[in-house]
Amino acid sequence: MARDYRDYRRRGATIAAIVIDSPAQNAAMVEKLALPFPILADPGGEQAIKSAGVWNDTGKMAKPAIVVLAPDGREVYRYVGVDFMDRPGDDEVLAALDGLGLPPVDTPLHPMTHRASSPGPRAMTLSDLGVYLRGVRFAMGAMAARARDDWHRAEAERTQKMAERYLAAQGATLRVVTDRGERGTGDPR
Amino acid sequence: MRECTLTDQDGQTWQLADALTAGAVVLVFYRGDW
Repeated sequence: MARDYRDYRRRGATIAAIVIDSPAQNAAMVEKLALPFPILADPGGEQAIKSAGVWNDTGKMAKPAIVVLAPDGREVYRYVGVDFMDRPGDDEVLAALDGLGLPPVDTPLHPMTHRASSPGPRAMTLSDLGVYLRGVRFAMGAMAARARDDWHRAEAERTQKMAERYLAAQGATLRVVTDRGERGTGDPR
Repeated sequence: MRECTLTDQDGQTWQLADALTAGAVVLVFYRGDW
C-alpha cells in the first residue's frame, strides 16, 4: 500500500495504520518501510481498535483488518483477516474507493519529523523481511503441492501469491531506502 | 469512532475527523511489533 499510495490519493483517500505499539516503535517502522502515511498508537485498543470492532481479545492486539470510511464517516468497506497473512488485495480496496467517486487528495503528505525511533524486540530488518517472505512463499508452494483438498490448496496458493506481492513491495522499499541513503537526508516518499 | 484521537509516530495528535475532511480514510489495523 505504501508503494502504491498515489493510487489511493488519486481516488480521494488517505491511509492511516493503527497498532498497539508505542510511537517510538512506530517511528522505527515508518523509517524502515519508508511509509508515506502515519502509524497511530492505540496501546490498549480503547481509542480506535475496539470501537472499530477489530480487537483480538486473546492476543490483546488488533486483528489484521482494513476499514474504509467515506468522508461522512460511513463505513464503505471492511475486511477482517483471520491472521497476519490474510489480507485483501489493493484492487478490492481501490474498487471500494472508486465507488465513492471522490476528487483526488492534493494536501501535502502527513508531516514527519523523524523523532527518536526504537524498534520492538521482535521487529525484523527490511532485508530479513525479504528472507522471511521467500520462506513463506516456498513453504506455501510446498503446502499447495501436498494439499489433499481444493480448499487447502487454494488457501496455500492465495498465501503464496500474497508473499509474492509482499516480496515485490519489500524489493521496492529496499530501492527507496537505498536511494534515500545515497541522497543523504530528505523525504523518501 | 469518528471522534477518535490518536498519537502518530512523531508524538503528534491525529484526529479521524480531521483526516475525513481531506477525503476518505483507509484504516489499516495490524498486530504490531513487526
